[in-house]
Amino acid sequence: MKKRPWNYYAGNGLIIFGLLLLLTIYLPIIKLFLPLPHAAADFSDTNNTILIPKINAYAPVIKEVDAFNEAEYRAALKKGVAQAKGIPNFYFAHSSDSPWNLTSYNTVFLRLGELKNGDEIVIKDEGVEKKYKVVDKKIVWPSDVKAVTQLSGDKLILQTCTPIGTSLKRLLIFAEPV
Amino acid sequence: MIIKKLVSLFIVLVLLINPTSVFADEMSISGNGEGSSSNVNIQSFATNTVEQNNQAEVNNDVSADTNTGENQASDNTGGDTNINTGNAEVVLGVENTMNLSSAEIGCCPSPTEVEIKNNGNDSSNTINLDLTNTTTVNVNNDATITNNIYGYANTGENEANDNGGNVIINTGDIYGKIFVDNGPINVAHVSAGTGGGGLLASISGNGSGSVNDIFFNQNLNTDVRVNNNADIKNILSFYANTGKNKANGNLGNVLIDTGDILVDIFVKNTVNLSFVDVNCCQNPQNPPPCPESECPTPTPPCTENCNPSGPCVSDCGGGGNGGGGGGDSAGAAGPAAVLGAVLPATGGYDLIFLTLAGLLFIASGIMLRRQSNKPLSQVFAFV
Repeated sequence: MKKRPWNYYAGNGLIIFGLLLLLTIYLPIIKLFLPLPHAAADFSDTNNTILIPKINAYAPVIKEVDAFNEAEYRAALKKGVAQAKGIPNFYFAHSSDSPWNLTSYNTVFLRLGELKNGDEIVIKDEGVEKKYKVVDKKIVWPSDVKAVTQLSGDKLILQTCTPIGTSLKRLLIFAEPV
Repeated sequence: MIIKKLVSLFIVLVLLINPTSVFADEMSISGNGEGSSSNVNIQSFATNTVEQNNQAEVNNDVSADTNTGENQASDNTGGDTNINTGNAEVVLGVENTMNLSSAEIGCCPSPTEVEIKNNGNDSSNTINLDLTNTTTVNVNNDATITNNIYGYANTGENEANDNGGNVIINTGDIYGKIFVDNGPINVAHVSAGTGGGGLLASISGNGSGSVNDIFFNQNLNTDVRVNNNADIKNILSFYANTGKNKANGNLGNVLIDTGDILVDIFVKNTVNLSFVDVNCCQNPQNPPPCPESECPTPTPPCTENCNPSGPCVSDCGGGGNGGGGGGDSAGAAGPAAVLGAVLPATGGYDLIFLTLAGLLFIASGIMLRRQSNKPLSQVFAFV
């Protein structure tokens, strides 16, 4: 058997390492595109949840999170989708994060931009289920907090970062009760 | 006979301190001998004053004119005469945002620590503390806005007279939209964390027969005055006509079909919003004097003055910012940043960087495999 030079095996090692790295990064994201049944999601608090069937998003809601306190909301986003303190109908979650933080919840809003008018959002608040339909979506700069601070009534806003893999802008999804 | 050694220490500190400093210190009477008498008097006056005056005057004159009418087709002898005018659409908008004020005196001072300890028998030790902390915030926002908006849309006023054949005049529809959004205007956000930081007093380890007193008097005065004054005039005028068509003296049949007119007018004024939050610093959960790295970071145009030993004072004086537009475009609006906040960051760049790293590893591995018979320096010679 012909003996290969050492850099042949080193090349194989680098390729395998690179593939494993990509797999580690993208496995949680790939899972979001698989039609897994929502009931299979594993978390204890099912009284406060958000479900968006179209994008296969199902996660617990962490309530009363200070949306303007980065340390606080980053901790909350490791557990699920955050509901802003003082703005009850404003929910936000990661579209991307560091791979070592990529739990199944951390990219729950990765596909939020796929939503179109009429798509359904189901929010369970303290066990009470409320259904919403998407009526609009906007991309704004991070400093453009007008829509969120003026949110009133039963209207709902979901937010994540866009483009995916950056925190350059914010994607806002507007919804109204069905 | 007991030798009395009289030590009289009289200290009067009168501090007239600038807005970035408050009293927070340590005082101690300790280690004095038997029969000694020690007396410390301290007076402190701390004054924080923030004054913001914003005055803005904006006049917006916006107009748009659309006309597809006023057509004439007269004195035609052969065939039918048709006048069909197109639809007219006029959209006018003005947004004004001005006088956004934010004043934060948000960092509480450390408590004053006072102790009388380890003094001898029969000593007399007294500390008198008299602290006065005055916080004064005056915010005056004055806005004067005049919006003059005029729209004109006409598809009518057509004439078809004295024609030999049939006459049809069909005028287009008119759709007009005017929106005026004045706001937020005169928004004052005052957050004052006032207080002297409290007192940590300790009397311990003094000898028998000693008399030890700590007298503490603290006066906290907070005066917040917000005056918002807005004078807004919205003068809207819209002329829309699909009629006033004439068809006289025609020999054939005459049909005049006028279009519809739909005009939406939306006016919203959001003015004079004041948020005043006076937070007493007695709550132990309140933050200690802020290190520079932890001071709140308001968004521009705020300017911040932070003293590590005192409170953070952030002055955000908002100047006037208004504008107008015409035709189909809305008026210019200022940035919608409110009170220095930004939407939560829910993304990161690590995903991209690590993806590139993974691809780099794979590419390097492929190069090593393909050119495994070459020395490493030649494989990566391009590097």
